[in-house]
Amino acid sequence: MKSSAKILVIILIGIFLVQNISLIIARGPPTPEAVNKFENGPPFPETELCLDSDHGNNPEVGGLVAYNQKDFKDFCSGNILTEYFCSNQNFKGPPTPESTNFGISNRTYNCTSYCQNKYGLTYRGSCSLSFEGFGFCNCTLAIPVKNEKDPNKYSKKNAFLISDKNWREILSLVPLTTWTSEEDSRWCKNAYGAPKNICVYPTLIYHREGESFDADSIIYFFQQYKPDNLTIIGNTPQELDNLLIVKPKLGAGLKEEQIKKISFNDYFSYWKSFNSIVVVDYDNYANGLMGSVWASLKNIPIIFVNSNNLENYKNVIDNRKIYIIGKIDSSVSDYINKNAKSSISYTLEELQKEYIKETNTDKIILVNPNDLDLKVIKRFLPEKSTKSFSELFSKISLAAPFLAAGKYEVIIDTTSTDYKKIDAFVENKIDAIGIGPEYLTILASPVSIPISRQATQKDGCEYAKFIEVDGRFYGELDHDNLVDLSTGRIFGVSISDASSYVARSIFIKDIVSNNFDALIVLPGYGTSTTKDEMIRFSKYFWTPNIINQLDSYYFYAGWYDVLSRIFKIKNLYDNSNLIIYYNHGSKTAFSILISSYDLSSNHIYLNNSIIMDVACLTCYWSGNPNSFCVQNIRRGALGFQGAVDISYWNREFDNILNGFILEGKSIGTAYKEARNQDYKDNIYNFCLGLRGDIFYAWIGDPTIKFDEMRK
Amino acid sequence: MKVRFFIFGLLIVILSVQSVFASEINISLNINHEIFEPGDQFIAKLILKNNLAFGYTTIIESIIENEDRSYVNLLPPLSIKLNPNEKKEIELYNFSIDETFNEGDYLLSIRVISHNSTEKSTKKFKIMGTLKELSINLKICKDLSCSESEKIFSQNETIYLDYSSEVKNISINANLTYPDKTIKQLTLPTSIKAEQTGTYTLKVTASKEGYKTKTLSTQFGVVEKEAEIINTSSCFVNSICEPDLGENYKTCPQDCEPCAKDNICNPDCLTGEDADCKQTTFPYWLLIIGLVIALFLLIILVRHITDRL
Repeated sequence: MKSSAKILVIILIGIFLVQNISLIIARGPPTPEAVNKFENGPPFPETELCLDSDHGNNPEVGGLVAYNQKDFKDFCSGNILTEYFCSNQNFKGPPTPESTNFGISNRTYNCTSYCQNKYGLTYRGSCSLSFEGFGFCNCTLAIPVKNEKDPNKYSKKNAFLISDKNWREILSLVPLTTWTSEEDSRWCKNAYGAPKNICVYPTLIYHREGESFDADSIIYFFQQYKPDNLTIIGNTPQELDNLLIVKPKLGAGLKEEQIKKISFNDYFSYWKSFNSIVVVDYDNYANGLMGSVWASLKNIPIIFVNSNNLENYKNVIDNRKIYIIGKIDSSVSDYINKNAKSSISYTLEELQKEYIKETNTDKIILVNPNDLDLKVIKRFLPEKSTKSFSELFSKISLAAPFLAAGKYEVIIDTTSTDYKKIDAFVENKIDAIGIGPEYLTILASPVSIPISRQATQKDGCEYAKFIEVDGRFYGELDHDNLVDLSTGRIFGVSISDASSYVARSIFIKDIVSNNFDALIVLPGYGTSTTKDEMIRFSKYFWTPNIINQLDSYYFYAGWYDVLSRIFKIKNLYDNSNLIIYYNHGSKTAFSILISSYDLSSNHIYLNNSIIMDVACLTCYWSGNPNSFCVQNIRRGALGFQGAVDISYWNREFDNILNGFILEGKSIGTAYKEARNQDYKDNIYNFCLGLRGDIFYAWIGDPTIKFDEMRK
Repeated sequence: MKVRFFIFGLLIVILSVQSVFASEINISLNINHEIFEPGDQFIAKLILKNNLAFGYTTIIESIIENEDRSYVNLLPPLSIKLNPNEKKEIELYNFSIDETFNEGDYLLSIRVISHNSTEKSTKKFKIMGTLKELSINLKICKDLSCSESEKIFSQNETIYLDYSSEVKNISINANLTYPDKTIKQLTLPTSIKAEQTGTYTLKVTASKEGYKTKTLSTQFGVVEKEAEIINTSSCFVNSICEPDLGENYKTCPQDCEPCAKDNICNPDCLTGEDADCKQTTFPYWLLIIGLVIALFLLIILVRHITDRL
């Protein structure tokens, strides 16, 4: 065969193939235009027999119409279904655009609209093909299956900052910054000591009054933690923005590009998907506290809804499982009943029980939700800002859900400010919710939950007017005067102190140094106390075993020995992790060593210190922002043994150090056992009607352990 | 005889009553002065007298407080053994009053707890002539009149440093630590140009005769320019889904329905439900490649056949 003939054969075959390709392509899914061509029905004579396998205009069943020896399949174009049916079977009366007199007709359906119109907004519709290849609208409940966060929203060491103005926004933030998720825990930030599947990012709540704000302790936390990004929710005063970018020691030292502001409206964008949501009444702060912790456990959002703002949340309620905490507006519950996938209602107590069941927690946080309004009115000028503020010791409970979510603790709340009623409440609540508690953390200033009660004549105290109640009453359950719960209290001049304390406690491993150094200062009780006398005295607690656990220590004993080196010793205060002081105290000072004034006028911040002492009055409650225990916590102490009045020469250092450092017990447990030992040993306390340690409260998180105190 | 018996009985009754009502212990608290000045020695002594015919141990509590409890000196409890009818003198306090004590009223209180009774005693005293507190405030401002204090300044701004005090003629020693750690001595009031960014510390030692020397410091910061933090919000709740503003079903479910037309595909939506989800189209390109290959093979086949022909 000649080459021209070969070329001819090839061309012919090519033409054949191209023709067939065109045919194959032409037989693809019909375009919308193609559908429209059939809108008025094919021009077949009316007399022909028409058979419809799905028995008429039935968009939810795929079918085939046989008419005039041809088949017309129901088909999909995107989400649009073209449904064929025999017009004479379905339409009677005058012709409409959708029905014709030609015996066969069709109608197009947007499956989404069709399904939602028919079944409600909880349904979605899609145009699907049946096994035989016939189109139909597939109506199903639309349910996201997973609760997951969007990893793109979080950097490795992201921190969050919000003002204390709006409690709803703050509580909503709990599951956004702290949540439980096996899946997310593969990429998110974990905290040492917390369960491994908890994702947690520091959330700092700053106190704001107009343009005045308190961020001293928060800025110090940022200096310690060094976040790689800071997300601010809402607006901030310009002075605070500036403070965030000023280099330390004054500022946080962040770069402008590390900081971004978002609106609370962006809340839901932090979830990649969520199948459930917690709903709490718009005005119920107390339910919101525990509700937010539940939302955190489930990794789902929490919303505060009433009939006025329901409209904003309809889309997030639709099709989802709803946890309703407490009572809600009837319009809200009606909407949920109609549009949610399902709902489950808990009373606060039921929720507490359920939380205990799911987390197996042995830790209780006690708050007074009325502390949003309870306050001390007094002017106080923070160190890092120029304007004073005046609402002190308020809103401390806002920090509670972040601690609870981060360490699996259950929040119980009382509105009473009477120590006897609070004591009874704690005991009754423990019984009611069925917890076997080990820890009690009081997140409240003494204005909301008293730290002390007035001494009575029966107590037989000559000098003290007040007796500590945190451990002695709230933490004592069986009325044998021995403390049962490892008890601690977290509070500060403002919520800024409490929230940065909570962040320090949760992120302790991120902020501690490699070394654990001690400062022991034992001037004794008076000018006649000699160095030798105090060295002999110290042997009851300052043992080689304890010393071996330290990286370094400074030890000063005897009145004049301490006094002659006092400037050097003062300089060690800010760098020591363990501080032990044995001497006199006052409301604002360790008498010889250092005062609140020294701390503020020298801008002293502490190195995550645990401070144990014999010193009167250091945590005496009078609403004074310069109270020594308050200032130590504000400046970074992780624990402070504070006397609520003129106290006694306790003998607790040995039990605290041995328990905490040698036996691996938490600081709260070690302190509890130390107090009980003083009770058993009947250490003289100057009160003839009471026995043991009746003066010293532990300020700080009682769950902290020694192995967390070093990197 | 009857009279004797009566007198004897009366004596017994009188003695019995005496022994019932007489204190088992007598205490006497003494201090060496009522007013103390710097350099004085404060000495407090307690005399105990056991009135009983048997010995016992007493516990002595003692404390000195001033009015505002800024000074509290509580001694550890003392255990003192008293023999029958023994009289003992105990020195409770012996210390010198220095200039740092606060002026004012002080109270020494003791409580003696003995066999069956508790005795109390107090002594008031004054401390005078010690150094007074020096009240002083540091001022860091943007203007000379210093109407308002500032903490943060922009680079190259002029910063005015000053102090205020109700006490006149204070001797001031001021130094300023710059961000690069250099320290400069200053005379207040003064001004500086904020050239370095970072934290500055102004430390002042204020002194005056008759007053406690006071050292205080304040910090201020200098930044290149004021912070301008970007707002990255992408949800503006108004019941309208506005994809152009960044709203979509994820970023703003308050406004955007799950399968809304919002420029992003919601994988939870069913096929075709979200217009943003591209329909899976038939992979025509694969078909074309396949056909080209087939064509190529066909050509080879045809060539093979034609070659044979």
